[in-house]
Amino acid sequence: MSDNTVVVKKLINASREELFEAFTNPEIMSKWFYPEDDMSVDVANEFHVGGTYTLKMYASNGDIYTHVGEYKEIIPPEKLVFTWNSDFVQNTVVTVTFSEMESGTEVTISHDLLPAGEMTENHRKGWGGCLSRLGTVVAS
Amino acid sequence: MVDENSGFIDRVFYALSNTTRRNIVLELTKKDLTVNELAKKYDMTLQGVSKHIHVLVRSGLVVQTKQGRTKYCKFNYQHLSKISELLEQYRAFWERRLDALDEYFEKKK
Repeated sequence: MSDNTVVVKKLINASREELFEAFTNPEIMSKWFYPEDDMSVDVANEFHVGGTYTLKMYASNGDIYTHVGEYKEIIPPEKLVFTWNSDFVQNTVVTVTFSEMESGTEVTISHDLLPAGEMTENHRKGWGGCLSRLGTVVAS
Repeated sequence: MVDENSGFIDRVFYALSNTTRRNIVLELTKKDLTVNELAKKYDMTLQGVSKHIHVLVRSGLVVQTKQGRTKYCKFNYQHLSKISELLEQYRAFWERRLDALDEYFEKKK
């Protein structure tokens, strides 16, 4: 994980199994996975490691935002890793984990905006180090 | 949704995916340099280094300014805050998704 990863968490009143399904079953995904109230989404997926998904988000002005990616890791009901490509970013990686809590399940989404597919591990490290050094420079 | 100008993050990531360009950026955070000085430092041809500079300029990480007859490459500090803005937009995007998911389960129960 690096400075270029966005991490969000939320405690949701549902079981890990229910949440895992909500992230992976196209029918349920289409009920919540769109960014604005006036948008809708079409979801299609081949749910296995190496399989792909497509999210087509329809805005009320007719714009369509397409997101595609590939499932990298599937561990029901604990963890899900997939790549995330949009008009804006390519080869980014999203990891979703589900942790059991007393009052529900904590969902953690971490979105690594490094273009992983295009770089070797060394490049990734180098790049992360580079940005953190730049951060130091800017702060000083 | 992420704002429509955010194609720049791809250009930034692409620019920084190359070791030479990362080194150039780090040099420029210390001192403004000319293309000539950069070429010497990395033992590259002017043409070779210019290609890298071009990619960095396109990404917005580097700007070129003229001082007299000499053209200097400068690191563009403002761009870093733009990157953190983009990260914030993604954070907001995923937070809204989780809120929507929460509402879905609230309604179901």
